[in-house]
Amino acid sequence: MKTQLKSVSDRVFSLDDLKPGEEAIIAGYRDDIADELRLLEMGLIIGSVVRLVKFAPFGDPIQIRVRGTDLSLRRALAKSILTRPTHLNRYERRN
Amino acid sequence: MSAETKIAPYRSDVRKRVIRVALAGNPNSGKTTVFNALTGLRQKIANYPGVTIERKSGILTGPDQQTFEIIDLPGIYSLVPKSLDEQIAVDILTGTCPMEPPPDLVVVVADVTNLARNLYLCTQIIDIGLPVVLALNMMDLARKMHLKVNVEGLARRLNIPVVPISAKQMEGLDTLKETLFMFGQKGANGRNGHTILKSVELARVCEPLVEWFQQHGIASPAGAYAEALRVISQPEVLERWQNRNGQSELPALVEKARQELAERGIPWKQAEVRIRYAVIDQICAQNITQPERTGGELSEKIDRVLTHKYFGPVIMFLILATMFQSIYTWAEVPMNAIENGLSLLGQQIERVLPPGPLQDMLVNGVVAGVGAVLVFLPQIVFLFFFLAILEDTGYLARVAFIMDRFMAKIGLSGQSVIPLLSSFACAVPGIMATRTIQNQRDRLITILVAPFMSCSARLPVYTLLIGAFIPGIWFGGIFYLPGLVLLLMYLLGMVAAVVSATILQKFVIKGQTTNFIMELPSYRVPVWRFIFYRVYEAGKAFVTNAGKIILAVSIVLWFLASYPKPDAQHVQEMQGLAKAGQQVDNFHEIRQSYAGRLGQLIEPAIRPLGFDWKIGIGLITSFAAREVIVSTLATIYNLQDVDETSVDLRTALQRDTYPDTGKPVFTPLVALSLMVFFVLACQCMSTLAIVRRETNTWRWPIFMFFYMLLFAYLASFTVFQVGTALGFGS
Repeated sequence: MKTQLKSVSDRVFSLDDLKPGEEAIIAGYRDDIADELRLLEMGLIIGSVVRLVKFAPFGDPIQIRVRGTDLSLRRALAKSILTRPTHLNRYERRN
Repeated sequence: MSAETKIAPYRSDVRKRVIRVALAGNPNSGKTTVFNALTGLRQKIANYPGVTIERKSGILTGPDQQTFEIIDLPGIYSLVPKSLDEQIAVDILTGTCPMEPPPDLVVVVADVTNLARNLYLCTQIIDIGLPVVLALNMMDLARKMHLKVNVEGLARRLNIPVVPISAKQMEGLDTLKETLFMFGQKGANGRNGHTILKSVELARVCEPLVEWFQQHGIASPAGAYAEALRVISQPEVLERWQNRNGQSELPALVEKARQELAERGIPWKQAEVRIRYAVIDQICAQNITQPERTGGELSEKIDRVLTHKYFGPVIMFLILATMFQSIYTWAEVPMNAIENGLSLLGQQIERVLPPGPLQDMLVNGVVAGVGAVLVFLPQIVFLFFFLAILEDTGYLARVAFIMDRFMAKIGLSGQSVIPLLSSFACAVPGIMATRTIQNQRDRLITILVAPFMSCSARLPVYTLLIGAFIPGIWFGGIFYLPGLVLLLMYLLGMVAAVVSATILQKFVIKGQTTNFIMELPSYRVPVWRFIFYRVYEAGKAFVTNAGKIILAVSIVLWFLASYPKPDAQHVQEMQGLAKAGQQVDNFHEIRQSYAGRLGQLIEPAIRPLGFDWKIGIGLITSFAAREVIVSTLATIYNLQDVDETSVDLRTALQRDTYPDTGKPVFTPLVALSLMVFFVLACQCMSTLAIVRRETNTWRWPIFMFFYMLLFAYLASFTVFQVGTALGFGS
């Protein structure tokens, strides 16, 4: 699953690549992710809609909203969370 | 085991059975508010033996005088613990805690505005087989958000009592209490091991495993399903079963289930999360009507200003500056009142009791010791007042959000900012404020570095020494040398905190650095009643725990400074010599007290730092509180009614010389070395007492004392020796 995601990495973005206010769908985690289980338990499961609310004033961490809750995540962790765009089907996306 | 760590006996006898009710829930679900609302101030705070985790319990009395012990478990997201406090909560619930048996009943407190995630934990607890009551908290907020919940539908689906409440508004609590009382009368609430997991198609992959577990000792379907999910997702669980059962078909069954999941694109590690969320999403879809717009809107608007790229830090600075300024100025009034009141009390005792050892001990030992305890209370009360407001409004999390960037650099998180800032006023409330840090490792490191922040008790020491020895030179009309030195002392403390945080993480407190996943709760109006609970709790914890230690040490220090008394004959001799106009040893009395002897004993050790035995005495007595060195020096030099700004005391210091060489005892370099020592050494019994209280062991305060002493010694040694070598020695 994860390796598949890597091979289609042109279609997926890291969570911290989103712009403030932008929504995306969680597509998976990179293999090197720490605290994977905690993120999953907090509802960041594949298919959940996630919104990058904003970056902290000094650029790190980020504020995201998932399932109605706002969470603060460090960018290093957000880099390991993969997302795909909401407005495009995953097979249709073009760059 | 001491009395305070004694835990209620397991399933106490039938005659007067205490029903033990555990409150479980996610952090920020309002669990503690429910706890406070149920128990009022009838709470008992102890520690689980040997760990820093608090055990908070309280009593609720039902009809027929039936007693319910309510236990507030540490907040958890699931039954897979990530930290020590989570571990304890999970162990208690699963019945694997050696210190505490599983509860008779669990009340799961859930934030109804974020139900899915809260149900994740709730369904896990239900599957253990414990009787569960679900308290849907924050119903008032849900109404504001136009969120409609089908409470009965939820209760039917989960097959447990569900009570909608709003703990902050004291709403629905009577119903919750009645539900508990009913349980007290009837016992179990009729769950029959029914599982909700079966309702999603995906859960079928578990079925062969469920069957296997049912044949191997887990009778209830709910328990067997939960174990099946765990054994698929967690290799440790599989290992445990293999160790217990030896060769079996279990690994093959697990492998098969994992493969089936993989075919559906689900990594096996995520099995439990995916299947539970599938069920929960279904339950939520059927029982909750989400409005088009969510309630986060107002919070988002407020955040647009409060965590704005430029306004955010500025506003934060203003809020915190106002807060600390208020603590400082407001606390001064009651602190003076306490001091005046106690000095009146002392005078009263002097009037009533005849002079002698008893009077001396009461006035200078006991009353002074009580004063040393009480003087902290105003600062603690005001800090916790503001801290509770910041936390309950949701702003505290924003401070952490803004400041995390900087704290991450030293391996901590934004949550350490307020405790460290508070420590500039006083490390005691600062260390108490570390309770707002979720991660236990971060909390311990913050506790250990907080005393490096230059607190207000160091200021009199800096004032005296800078005033006496640092010449008032201006550089280029902008920089004033005394001011620069003062700034340097504050900076030195901060640098020491950063350096030691790094060292501690590397060598002493290992363990994973935090990833700092923090919730940013919606902004809310605080409820005063709960603010006052918190203030009361903090004050009480300080006085009853740390207070005892501080009082005892004060009396010991008084004894050391007062005994043994010089014999009458010697005093007469001295007076005779003095009358005859001969040279006498001015320091005789203090020299032969225990403190004086200790000062002389350590003199060889502190000489390389530039200190003589009189300064040594000051180092010992200032263990009571740093500013005590000022009054100790005053006593040594026979001065009355002086403080750190008095010219008399400065002159006395400047004039003092070594009897053998005639060289001055104090030089600017000695003063600098002494100040550096005071920046870095843990010269404060109150700090050590509160560290003992907060970490629940003597290990950390003892460690703290010695590592800070080592730090201080090396730094002062370097300053004095290098300074002397460079010719600044005179």
